[in-house]
Amino acid sequence: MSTLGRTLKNIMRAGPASAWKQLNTMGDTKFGALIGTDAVGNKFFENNDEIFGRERWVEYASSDPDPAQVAPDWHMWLTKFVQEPPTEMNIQPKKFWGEPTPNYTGTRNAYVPYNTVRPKYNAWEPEVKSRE
Amino acid sequence: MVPLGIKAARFSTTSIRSHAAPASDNNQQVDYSKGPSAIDKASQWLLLTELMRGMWIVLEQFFRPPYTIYYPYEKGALSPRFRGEHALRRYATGEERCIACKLCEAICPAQAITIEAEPREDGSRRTTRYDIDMTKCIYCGFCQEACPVDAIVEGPNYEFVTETHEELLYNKEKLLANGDKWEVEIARNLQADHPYR
Repeated sequence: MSTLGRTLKNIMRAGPASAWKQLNTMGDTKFGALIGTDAVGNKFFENNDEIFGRERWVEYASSDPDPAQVAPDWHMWLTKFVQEPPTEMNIQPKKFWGEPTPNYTGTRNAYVPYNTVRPKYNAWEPEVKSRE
Repeated sequence: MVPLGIKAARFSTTSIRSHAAPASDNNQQVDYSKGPSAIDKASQWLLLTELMRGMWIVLEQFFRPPYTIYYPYEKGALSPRFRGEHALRRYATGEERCIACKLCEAICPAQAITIEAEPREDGSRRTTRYDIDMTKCIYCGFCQEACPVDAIVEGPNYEFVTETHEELLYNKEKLLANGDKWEVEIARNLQADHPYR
């Protein structure tokens, strides 16, 4: 938590319910304009009067927040690659574009490496000659 | 000057200090005529004023808002040239870009890339194996600089931690899937960096 004055001010501005949620998740109170919501339900906020570097933030829909849950289009807004949010970008998805996926490590969906070429050598399969 | 007898006793003709310090710095006597008096210094030392001044600075910082970025809710700004997780890109038609020229494999200083190629059914040369050992990779970005068709790029993603080592041994399918997932951002970054390439 940061300073008392800032915390009280943001509790007043954001409302006690959202401030309580913020204190339980982020550990700090913030107030800003809701810029958009992505497909998963993560909410993206912006307040350019904030401390430098803290102007943009996300409130995760999941109770187990992981940065990989942010889709690439919102990721580039969140990390300040771009100024305008993806809702104003007129993105026209191509047919081959994949779905934004979270990080599946530790689950059954985790990536397992496999060989993409034919095996070049095989195990020796001994053939025993029958006795004559 | 050191008397000759003492020099002889030291087995040296020059004073020891003159080896290290400039000749003008030989006078080690401190001039107390300008500056705080001995009483001033003694009182500062005895009343711990330096300690109090240092603690006052700590107290000032305590009441200032911290500049901590609350990850993962907030993130630091990244450059469009950020070199993160690798991805293989496709053309707008969906055709994969990589033509198996193996320049990235040749330039990779960590030798993390393994490529095998053979002609496809339509006669075009494509990779059959494009493996990157992400645990060998040093993220230098030489592969994307070497690539003549912008196929291999280092995307903006750095949040690909895994629980096992083998999940970081990426093969071609995984790299293409990365490219398909991150293409919206990769294309934007390449566009932003285009005047400088």
